[in-house]
Amino acid sequence: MIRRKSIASCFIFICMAALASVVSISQDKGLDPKGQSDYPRITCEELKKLIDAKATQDIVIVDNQPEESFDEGHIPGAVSFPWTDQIKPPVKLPRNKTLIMYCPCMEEEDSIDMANKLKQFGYSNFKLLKGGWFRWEELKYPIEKK
Amino acid sequence: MRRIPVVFVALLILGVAAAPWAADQRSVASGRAVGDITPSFVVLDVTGPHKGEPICYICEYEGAPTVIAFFQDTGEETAGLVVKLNELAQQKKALKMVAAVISGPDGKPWLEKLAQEKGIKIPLVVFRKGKDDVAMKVYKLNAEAKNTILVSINRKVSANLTNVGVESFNLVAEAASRILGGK
Repeated sequence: MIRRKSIASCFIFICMAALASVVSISQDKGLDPKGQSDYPRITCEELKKLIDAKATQDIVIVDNQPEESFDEGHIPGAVSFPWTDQIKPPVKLPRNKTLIMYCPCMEEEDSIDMANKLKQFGYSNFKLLKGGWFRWEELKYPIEKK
Repeated sequence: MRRIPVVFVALLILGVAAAPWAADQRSVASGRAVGDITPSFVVLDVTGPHKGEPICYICEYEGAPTVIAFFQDTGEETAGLVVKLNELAQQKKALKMVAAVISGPDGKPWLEKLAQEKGIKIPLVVFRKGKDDVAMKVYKLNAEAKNTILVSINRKVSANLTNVGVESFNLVAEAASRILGGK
């Protein structure tokens, strides 16, 4: 009887430890923008096609560069929403459209971080621009200045 | 009796003459203030892992403890500080670093030579448009400052040091140690 009890308590302990480690791993992932990079991607070529075909009614292109950099050049039709450590409400981005986020980053780091932060405000429909601003510039696609 | 006014006048002249120099050394305000965020800025990589490409190291480093050094120009003083920064990065492996020369792509050959001769491992970069680069505005850099060194963690400035010399580099090392917490 005592043996059965100790086996049962051992089992419960192992289950609790496993649960705790799963919770800890998922929390760590939440803190690390690179761990949350499972947002769908869109290529510059695909975005350009949408712009050219004037088929942008369901998307908003969101530029995460600092405002000064946005003024110097951005993807045509993009809105400025610079990377920040803390988003201050009210957020004026539409909730019923796909937000196409881009930044001057190799692996979309700033856009991933901003998408993570926007999730807290109820936004859920994101796409990240693969290669971001660098790829857009590299392809010599049109640039809009303020 | 006459000596006192002569000494007084001499000291006064000395003080007036030295004032601009002293002001230049200490009170030049440049760079984002302590507590400000460190936004993205694009540079041309000269010696780093993305050599020859535009890159935002600040984005890549994310919230890591970072030293961002902006140098107005190339030269002996800049070389001495880059060597010191490189030594610091070797000592403190958790510390990320980038050293940018503001004057523009003309500084590329000098930086390449410096990296080769002194074995510099930290990324050396240049502003793509020199003093007209948007990063001057984004980082509130003062063209009068010889250098501006920002120490940051979690993408927030924790120390802003301007016109640092090799002899006062310990201020950068101390600021870096504070954010690393003894690591």
